[in-house]
Amino acid sequence: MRLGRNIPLAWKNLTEHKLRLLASVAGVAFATTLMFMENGFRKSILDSMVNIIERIDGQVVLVSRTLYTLSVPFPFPMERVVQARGVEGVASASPLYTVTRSSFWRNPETGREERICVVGYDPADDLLDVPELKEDRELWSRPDTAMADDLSRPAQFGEFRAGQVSELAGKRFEVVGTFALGINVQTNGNLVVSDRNMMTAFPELDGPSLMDRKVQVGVIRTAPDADPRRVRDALAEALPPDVRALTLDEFIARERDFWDKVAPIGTVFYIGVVMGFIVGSVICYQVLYSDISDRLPEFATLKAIGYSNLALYRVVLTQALYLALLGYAAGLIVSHFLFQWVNRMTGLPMDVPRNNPGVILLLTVLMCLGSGAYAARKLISADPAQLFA
Amino acid sequence: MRNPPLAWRNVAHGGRRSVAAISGAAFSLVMVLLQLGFLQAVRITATNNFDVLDFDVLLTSARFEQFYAPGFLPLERLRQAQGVATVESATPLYATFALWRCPPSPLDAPPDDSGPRPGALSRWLSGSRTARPLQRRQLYVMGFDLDHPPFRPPIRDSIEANRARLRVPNRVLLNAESHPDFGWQVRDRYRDWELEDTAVEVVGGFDMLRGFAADSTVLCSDDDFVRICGYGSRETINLGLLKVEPGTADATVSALRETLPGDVRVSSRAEVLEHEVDHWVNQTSTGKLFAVGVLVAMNVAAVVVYQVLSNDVREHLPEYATLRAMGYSTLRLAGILIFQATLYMLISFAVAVAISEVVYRATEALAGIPMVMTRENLALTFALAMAVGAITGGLTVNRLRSADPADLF
Repeated sequence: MRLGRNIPLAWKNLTEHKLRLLASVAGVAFATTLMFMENGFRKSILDSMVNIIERIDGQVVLVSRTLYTLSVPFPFPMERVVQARGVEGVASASPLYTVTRSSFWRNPETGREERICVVGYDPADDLLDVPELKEDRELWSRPDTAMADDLSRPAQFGEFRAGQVSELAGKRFEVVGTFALGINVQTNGNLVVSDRNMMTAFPELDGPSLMDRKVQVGVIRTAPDADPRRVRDALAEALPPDVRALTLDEFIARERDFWDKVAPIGTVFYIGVVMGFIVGSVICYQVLYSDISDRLPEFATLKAIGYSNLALYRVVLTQALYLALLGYAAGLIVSHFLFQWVNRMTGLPMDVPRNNPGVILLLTVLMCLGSGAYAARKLISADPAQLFA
Repeated sequence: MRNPPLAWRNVAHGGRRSVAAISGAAFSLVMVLLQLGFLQAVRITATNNFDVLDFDVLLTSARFEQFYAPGFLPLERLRQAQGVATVESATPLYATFALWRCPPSPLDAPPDDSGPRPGALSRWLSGSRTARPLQRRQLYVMGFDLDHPPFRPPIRDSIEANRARLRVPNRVLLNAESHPDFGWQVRDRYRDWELEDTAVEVVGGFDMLRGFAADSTVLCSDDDFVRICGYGSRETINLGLLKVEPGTADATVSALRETLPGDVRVSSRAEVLEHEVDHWVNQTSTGKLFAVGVLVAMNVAAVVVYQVLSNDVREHLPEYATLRAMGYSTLRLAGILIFQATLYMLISFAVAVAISEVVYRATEALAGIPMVMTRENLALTFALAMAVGAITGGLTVNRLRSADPADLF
């Protein structure tokens, strides 16, 4: 005899007391929120660390052999980029310059100099896939002009707008437009300038000849029919070992990997996710266990009329599943608003769809089913005779 | 027995039910303590850098952002500062990020560096034996006058013990609490150290916490620093550390502010620490994320504790109804109830502190950040637990009114 075929017993058990249901769902929802939050923090930090790399419009990159994160300068000579142009399968190779640690922008409102990340490349190369940067190409090709990131921290940089005149690295620069890229835990603001302006502002990047310029990333576009991995291997073969060729995806993965596994930040939030899972499991156990205790007489009666332990188990597990789904839905909504709030506060990219909602769903269901199965052990001892003891 | 300790018996004889209730509340309190610990770690690493330095008044560039981005100021400002009568000594500190050649592991057969990196757990388990390629990684270098090291003990003691050795060029001290990648553990078997482009020798170590910004630290003489880090001369410094006559710190700060030009910022010790904590906790995204974590964990804990306690009352409702039938007043039952709630929370809190201690040590080992359970954080969590316990106990008293003996049957 199967239970719950005609009567949705699990559902009825769960929804019998509305207030209690609310409390149970709230418990699971908060556990889900905890996991969402910790995982979201971790992901948003990792996402933000690759915000510039992800916009690189190319299939293969050249970086210094020693580069382990883009936020530390590891330049290599421009000569390597020029050499790469001769390799088969390479359609174009262009230099991208960055200065992250030693560049200062004077906030025109406060007069204070604030550290800012500066990215430079030839505007004609369109190395970053940001629409505003492509549209305003003519504007920021002019001398002493810069494009500014709208998402830079307002507390430090105020509001960037076209026409603003201030100083970058002590030299007069004009903001000619804005774009949206985003900040991360290493940088609170971004500027994009042309390669020429880069050399004016940071002469230390320039060398005795063009070939000696200090490039941070060489961006390579492959020929339409070329396989990026083949081109990468060809570049590795052709170029001296002071540079490393990576496909863009490998480059992104390496950068994320560093912040996730080596820097303390990724680890801290991992621990948070695990703790969220444990707390959630305990909450679920608590909810289901007390529910089963309350209904022990009913379960005992069902057993007396011939239902097997397995059938009763199924009822509890179904109930756990419903609880997981309801709690997850509520947690999703709470997380959505929480993420929006954190995004406004920190400027880090935070939204639910990017933060493995599937994995969290799986964890929530696992957490509820696991604790449900554990709590349901009590059913086996449900003895009809106890009813009248 | 006129007054059986009912609350205690409810808890003690609840069996699995009590265990479930206590573990539910305890784990949510662990979550709160953990988040508070993360936030505390940000504070500790923020102030620790200045805690190891010996100064009363700090001179920095007007561009000073935080310890790891101090900006530059001319050494001349320190000489000017010495002109102020209450200044006893003025010592420059040179500090910047530089590249360190991290030894590969194993030393003789390093793995290829294109493979995936091992995760935190396996790194922790295998420690310095984790396979890793030769790498150049950034660490924080501090250079100073060997005869006047501006550090407090125990770092000063480490410097003084190695002073003679450090006088030989290109010798450095490496932080013994560095990330294992930086090679402190293999210092006896490795010789090919490099700082920037200079071959150096590690002659000893010192103990300094590492934090979110730098994975390791190196100390060297000012001459070595200037040469290795390309400062050109000793005339450009990063921090000016002043010792003043006792009790004159504030007066000295205002005197210096009048004397020195606008390219220098003068701060007292307290101001520096406050600025640094504010920067890391309120200005950086890391600090803000942890603050949100604390807030959410507290809410979760409140909900869970409410859940646990109200379930418990519901389960004991028949007993309470019986007691009422025996003539206990609602007030007396409420007393029992609130006492029981408090008891649960006390036990949960104790369990939570024990579990947190384990989780703290694990975090410290896995993430390499200092996790300290401060009295303030313990008190805050305790207050939260007690407040939620009392409020929940109070809220559930309402239920008692409905405990009608007749319902029992």
